[in-house]
Amino acid sequence: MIIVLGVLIAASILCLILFRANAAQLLKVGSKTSSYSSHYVFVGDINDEFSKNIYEAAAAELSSRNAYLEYSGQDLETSYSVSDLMKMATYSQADGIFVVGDGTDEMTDQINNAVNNGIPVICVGGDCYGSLRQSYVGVTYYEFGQRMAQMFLADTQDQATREKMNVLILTSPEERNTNQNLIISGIRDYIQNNYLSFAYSIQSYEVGDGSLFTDVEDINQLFESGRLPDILLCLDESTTNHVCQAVVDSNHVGDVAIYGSFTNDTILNALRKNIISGVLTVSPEEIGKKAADSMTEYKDSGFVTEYSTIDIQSVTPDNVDKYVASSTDSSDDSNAD
Amino acid sequence: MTGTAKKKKMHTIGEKLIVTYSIATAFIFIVNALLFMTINQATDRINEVYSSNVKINTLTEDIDNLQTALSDYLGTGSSSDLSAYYAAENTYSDALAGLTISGADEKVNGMIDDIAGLTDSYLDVCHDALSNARGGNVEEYAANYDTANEIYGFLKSSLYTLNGLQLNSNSESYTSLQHTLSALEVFSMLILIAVLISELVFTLFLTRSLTAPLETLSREANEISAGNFDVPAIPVTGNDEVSVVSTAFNEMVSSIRGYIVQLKTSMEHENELRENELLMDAELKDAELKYLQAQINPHFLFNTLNAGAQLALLEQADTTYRYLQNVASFFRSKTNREKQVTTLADEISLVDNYIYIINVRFSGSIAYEKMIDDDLTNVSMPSMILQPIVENAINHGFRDLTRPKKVILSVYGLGNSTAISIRDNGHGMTQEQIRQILTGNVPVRAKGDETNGVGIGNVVNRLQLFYNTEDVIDITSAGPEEGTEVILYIPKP
Repeated sequence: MIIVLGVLIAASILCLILFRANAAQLLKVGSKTSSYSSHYVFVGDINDEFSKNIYEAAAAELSSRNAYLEYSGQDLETSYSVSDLMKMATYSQADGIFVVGDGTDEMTDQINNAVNNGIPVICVGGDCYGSLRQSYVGVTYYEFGQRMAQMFLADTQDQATREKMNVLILTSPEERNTNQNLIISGIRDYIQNNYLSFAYSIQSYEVGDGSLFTDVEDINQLFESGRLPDILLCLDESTTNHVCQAVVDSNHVGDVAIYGSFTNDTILNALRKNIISGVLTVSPEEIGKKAADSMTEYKDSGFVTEYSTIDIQSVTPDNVDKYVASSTDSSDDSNAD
Repeated sequence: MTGTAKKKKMHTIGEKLIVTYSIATAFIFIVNALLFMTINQATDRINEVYSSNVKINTLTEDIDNLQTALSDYLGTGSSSDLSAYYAAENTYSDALAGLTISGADEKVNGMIDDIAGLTDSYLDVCHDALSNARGGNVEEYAANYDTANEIYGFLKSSLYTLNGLQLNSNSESYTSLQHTLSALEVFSMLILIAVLISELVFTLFLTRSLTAPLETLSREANEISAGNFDVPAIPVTGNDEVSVVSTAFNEMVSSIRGYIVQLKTSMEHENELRENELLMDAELKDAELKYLQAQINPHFLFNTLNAGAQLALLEQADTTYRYLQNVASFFRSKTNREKQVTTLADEISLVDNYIYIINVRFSGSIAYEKMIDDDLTNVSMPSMILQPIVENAINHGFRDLTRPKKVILSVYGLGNSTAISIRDNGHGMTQEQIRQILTGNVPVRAKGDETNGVGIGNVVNRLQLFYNTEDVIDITSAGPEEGTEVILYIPKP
C-alpha cells in the first residue's frame, strides 16, 4: 500500500511539475523581452526597396553587436519627408544616424545639425558631399556614370560609329543634386575620353515634378509620343522600374536600348526577357554591412574612413541568373551572420 | 513467535489513518494552491495586458497639457502659468518615467527611447523658451516655441504610433492569454480529476487493507461458531490492531483444536478404561463362576449327593433321601450350562425343588400354591427365570416376616401370551424399587447375601433380550406389607 501511495504521489508531483512548466511557458506569451546597448536610426525613403535592403543588412549586422537600428518613420501613422525624419532622428538623440544622402542643401543642413548635436552620421547609398557626415558608404557617382557609359558603348559602339546615336538620360527632379550631375559627367567624360563624342548625342530629360506618380505619367507620355531615343539611361531604381513597364505597355520593346540602375524583381524580370539591355547595381547588403562596420568603428575609436567604396556590378540578360544566384547566397550568408 | 511480533513497533490503525489522510489532505491542498496560483498568475497577466495602453494614453494627455501650459505661459507670462507649466512638466516626467512595458520587443523599446529622447529635446527647448520669455527675447522664444511645437508634433505622432503598436500587441497577447487561461482551466480540471482518482484509488486500497483481514476474521469466526474448526490460519500482514487480533485468533483456534484433541484422547482413554473395567468385571465374574464351578464339580456333587441319598435310603431315612434328591436335582439344573433355553415345566419343577429345599431349611414355613394350566407349560423360555424371582420374593419379601408366608405360582393364558404370576404376601415393594428393577438399576447386593448368584436385574435383562421387548415383565405391589406380584408375559409360539 505504501508503494502504491508513493507511486501515486510521485506521478502526481511529476504531473504538477509539468503543469507548472507548461503554464510558465504559456504565460510567457507576449512577454518576450529585448534589450540593446545602442540605438541607431536609419533615415531613407521607406518605399525605396534599395534603401530597405541597405537597412536590413545594416540592422542584421548591428543586431549581432547588441545594437538596434530603427527605420525612421516606418511605423508612424503620420507620413513625414526624409528631411523631417532626419530632424526627428536628431531630436530623439539617437546614438547614430544612417541616412541615404540626396546631396541637397536641406539634407546637408540636417546632417550638420545632427553632427553638431553629437550624433554621428553616416551616409549610405547616396552622399551629401560637403556635409559634416563621418563617412560615406556607397558608389562614386562619377565612376557610376563612367561604368554606365562603358556598358552601353560596349553594345552600341559599332553602330554608333556608322550612325550617330541619341542618348537620353532620365533625371528625377527630387535629385537636384550633385549625384545625378556626377553621373552625367562621368558618362560624358567616358565618351569623350574614348573619342566617341561624335557618335553619341547626350541629352537629359526630367521626369515628374516631385509629386506622386508624375514621373510615371511623363515616362508613359514619352513612350506614347513615339519620339524615342536610341539609348535610354535611367539613373535610379524607381525610374528604371517605370521604364520597364512603360516600354512593354507601349509595345516598344526592342525599339530602344534601355540601361538602368539597381535591381528589383521587375527589373530582373525585364533583363531576363531582354526588355532592357542592362543595369548597373551595387549590393545593398554590402553597403549595409560596411555602414554598420563604419559606425561601430567610429563609436569605438572616434575615427573612421571618410569613404568606403562599393563594387559596381553590371547585370545583363546574359548573367542575370548568375547574379540572382550570387545575391541569394550572399543574402543567406548575411542572415547566417 | 508472539514475543517476536511484539518486539516490532506497532503502527496502529489510528496512526495509519491519521498519516494517510493527513498526507492526502496536504497533497490536495498543495495541488489546489498550485492551481490557484497559476490561474491567478494568468489573470494578473491578462489584467496587465492593457496597462501599457493606459500609461500611453495618460502620457499623451500629459504632453498635451504640457504643451498647453507652455503656450499659456508664453502667452501670458504670469507666474501662475509658469507654476502650472512646471507642474505639468513634473506630471509628464513622472508619467514618462513610469512608461515601462514588460516584454516589449526591440521596436517598442526603440520607440520608447525615441520618445524619451524627443522629450529631452522638447524640455530643453521649452526651458530655452521660458528663459528667453523671462528675458523678453520675443524672437528667440518664438523660434523656441516653433521648435517645441515641431518636437511636440513628433512626440504626439510617436506616442500615437506606440499606442497603436501596443494595442495590436496587447490584443494578440490578450487573445493568447485568454486561450492560455482556457487551457489552464481545462488542465486544472484534468489535474483535479487525476488527483481525485488517485485519492479514490488510494482510499480504496487503504480501506481494503483494513477490511480484508477483518472480513477474513469474521468469516473464519463464523466457521468456528458453526463447529468447523478445520479452518486455515488467517494470514497476518502489517503490524496493527488487526494483525494482533488475527494472531490471537489463530492462537485461539490452534489452542481449541489442541483441547479438542486432548479431550478426545482423554475420553477415548476413559472409555477404554471403563471397557477394561467391565471386561475385568466380566472376567472376574467368569473367573468367580469358574472358580465356583471348579469348586463344585458337578459330577462329584451329584455323586456325593446321590451317595448321601443312597445312604439315607439304606438307613430308611426317607425324608433325608427325598431332601438329598431334591438338592441334587436343583444343583443339576443350576449347573447345566448348555441349557440356555428351557421349558416352563422345567422352570416350575426347579421352583418346586427350591421351595422344598427352603422349607426343609426353614421348617416348612413357606406355603406354596400352584395354579397351573398344564397346556401352557410346554412353552420355551430362558432358563433360570422363575427360581430367581421366587428366591428374590423369599429373601426380600419374607425377610423378618412374622406372619405366615405364602407364595402362589400361577400359569394362565392371556391373549397371545402365557402369563406366569409369582405372588407373595411379603413386605411388598415401593414404586421406586419396582422402577429401579424394571429399568435395570438394581442396587448392588451386599456381600454375603445368600442368593443363587442370578439377580432379578439379570432376569429382567435376559427376558427383555430373549423376547426383544421391555413389556415381558411387570411387577406390582399394593404397597408396604401388601406383598408383591411378578407377572411374566411369555409370547405363545
